[in-house]
Amino acid sequence: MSSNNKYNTIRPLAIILFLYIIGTVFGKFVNINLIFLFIILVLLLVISLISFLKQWDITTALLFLIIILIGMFNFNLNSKPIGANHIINFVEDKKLTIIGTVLDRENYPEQEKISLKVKVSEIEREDQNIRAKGLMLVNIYTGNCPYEYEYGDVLKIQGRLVKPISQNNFREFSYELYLAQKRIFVYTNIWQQKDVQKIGEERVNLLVSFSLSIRNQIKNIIGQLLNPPGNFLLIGMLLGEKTFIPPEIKEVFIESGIMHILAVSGLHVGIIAVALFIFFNSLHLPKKIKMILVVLILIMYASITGFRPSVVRATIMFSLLISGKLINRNRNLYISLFLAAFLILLINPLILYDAGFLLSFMVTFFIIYLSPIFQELFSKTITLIRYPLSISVAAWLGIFPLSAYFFNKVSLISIITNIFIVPLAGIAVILGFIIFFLGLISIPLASLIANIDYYILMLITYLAKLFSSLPFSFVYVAQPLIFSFGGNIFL
Amino acid sequence: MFNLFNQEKITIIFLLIVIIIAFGIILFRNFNFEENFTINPPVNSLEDNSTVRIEIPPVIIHITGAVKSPGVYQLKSTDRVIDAVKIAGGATEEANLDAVNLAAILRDGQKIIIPYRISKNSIAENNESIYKNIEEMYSSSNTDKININTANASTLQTLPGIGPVLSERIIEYRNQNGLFGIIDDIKDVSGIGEKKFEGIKELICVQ
Repeated sequence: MSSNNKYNTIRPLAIILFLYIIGTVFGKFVNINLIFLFIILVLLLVISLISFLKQWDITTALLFLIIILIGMFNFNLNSKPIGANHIINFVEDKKLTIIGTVLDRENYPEQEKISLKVKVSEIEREDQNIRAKGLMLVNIYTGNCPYEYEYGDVLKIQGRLVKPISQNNFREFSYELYLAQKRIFVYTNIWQQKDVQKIGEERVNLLVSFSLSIRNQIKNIIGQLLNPPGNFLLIGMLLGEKTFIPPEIKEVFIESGIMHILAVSGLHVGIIAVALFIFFNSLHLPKKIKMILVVLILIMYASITGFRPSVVRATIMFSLLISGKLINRNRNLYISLFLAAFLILLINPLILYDAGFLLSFMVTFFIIYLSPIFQELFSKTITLIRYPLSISVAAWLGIFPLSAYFFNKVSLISIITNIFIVPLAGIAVILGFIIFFLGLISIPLASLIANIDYYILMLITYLAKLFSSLPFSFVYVAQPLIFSFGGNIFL
Repeated sequence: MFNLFNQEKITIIFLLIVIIIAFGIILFRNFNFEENFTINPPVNSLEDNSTVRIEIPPVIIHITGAVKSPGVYQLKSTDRVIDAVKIAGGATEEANLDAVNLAAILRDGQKIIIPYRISKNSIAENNESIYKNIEEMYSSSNTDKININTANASTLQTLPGIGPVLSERIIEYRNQNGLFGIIDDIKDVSGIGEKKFEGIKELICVQ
């Protein structure tokens, strides 16, 4: 990386991110009292401040040490339940009555399961109520539920609390880690309808309930106007909700290497940002208002999609780039990428083990870093194909090791597939949003667009099928050796 | 070892101060040092702490049969069938309280029927024969339907989709919660969902 003055802010940011990640990784093995560690952190910060004022040589080393310690501290703060009245301290071998508020709901149609994320407020015992806190997962297996539990519902749950089993074998799916990433440390399974009762409602957060209602409206309008599987595909592309997409289509998408268009990603955020800029330009809005509006709408979209790591990354990056432009700073993709990663990991360090997060950042980093190099390499090819090809190759290089590690399957055809499918997916997404907005006004008008979009979606599926059926479109790979070593340490 | 520029150091120090202050706030909010979470006073002094008290939702039940004043009553959801019998003026002399689970917890919308003794002469009849009598009484009207309140395991297994496990569960449910008020209640038995119920609802009845 060139270290001329123009880039001088990159270097420390990359180092900070690196040291912080090291801290979080080691935090898993270090079990220190959080208050003790916090006091040490404050002391070290004071010392480094003094050392900076006196211009001692150790300032840099001290700052780096603090960053590592912050990583350790934050990992321990997030990976373990804290507080004596946390719900995890009430786990016992009999049914408890718990009162809490629904924060999130997820449907698993193939398992006939509904999972509710519940914020616990009270535990009811025979003669007394105990104020408790923390999150828990409530898995409801009662088949067809007569009542759809929504965000903000206060429920009275009778169930036995269970701690998720930890990973026993290396690379086995760890339910414990999966739940811990959401700060959930206990769950309960409900088999009878009478064990869950709605006893009230509580509107917790206006932004969340508003985005949920928009989310439901998008699902309604699109589910109504497109024929399956087009509607499921489009809902997946707009909202990242893949639960209803038929498994055979998912398989084809994975094999042709275009699954990322179904996981809401930076691509979508980019499309929305560009579409919004075009729209606002036509309204002749002042530059500042235009940019603030775009950032607000992007945050709204991140909230609608449920703050997935890839969307949050893209939203933070775009917001930083846009605000950088506002204060007339030279925009820098690396800074925004590293800062986005740092912010996300600061809020929840366990996201580091999330495949979506890793893929999103690796691919973005490789695209930013390598695609200019490839563009020069491919300079002899036609200009029209040079740009998409270099991005596609760079992205593939980023995905390759992670895909081998997480899925033991690497798509070779994806370099070519993406050149064709990404623009098509872009059109499908834009049309999807147009369908939604038209659907709010007039359904017949929207169904006109929906028909066009349906054919585009079918074309995408057809192309994906075609490419995945080619010989050597994808290969199964053994897990790369170096990653198994790395994985043993990291996971 | 490389060194940072002064400007960078200042930025980092500022950043770290912000992060540590934020951590401090999170830490001290989550650790309740004064243990304020502890238990609120027991129920008998409910008035002291009304904020944490939980309202017991009322249930409305319909009690008929061998009680002095049958009708619709409102009770607490923690009440049992015996409370419902008491509020309905108590059981009459002809009531056969052996056939009901008096300890079953009331459910909202439940209909409780206190059965009459079939014949006054044979007071010493055991439960099984009473069940048989009840079955005979109702079998005339619902000839081909299976009474889920009285049927035994092997009878229940003749229903489509009900195997040995589910029939056991239905009987266990009946023993725990009392008789089924309406046939829809059978869906409360774990394992019987909407689909199973659709398949058997034409074939079953209550009482």
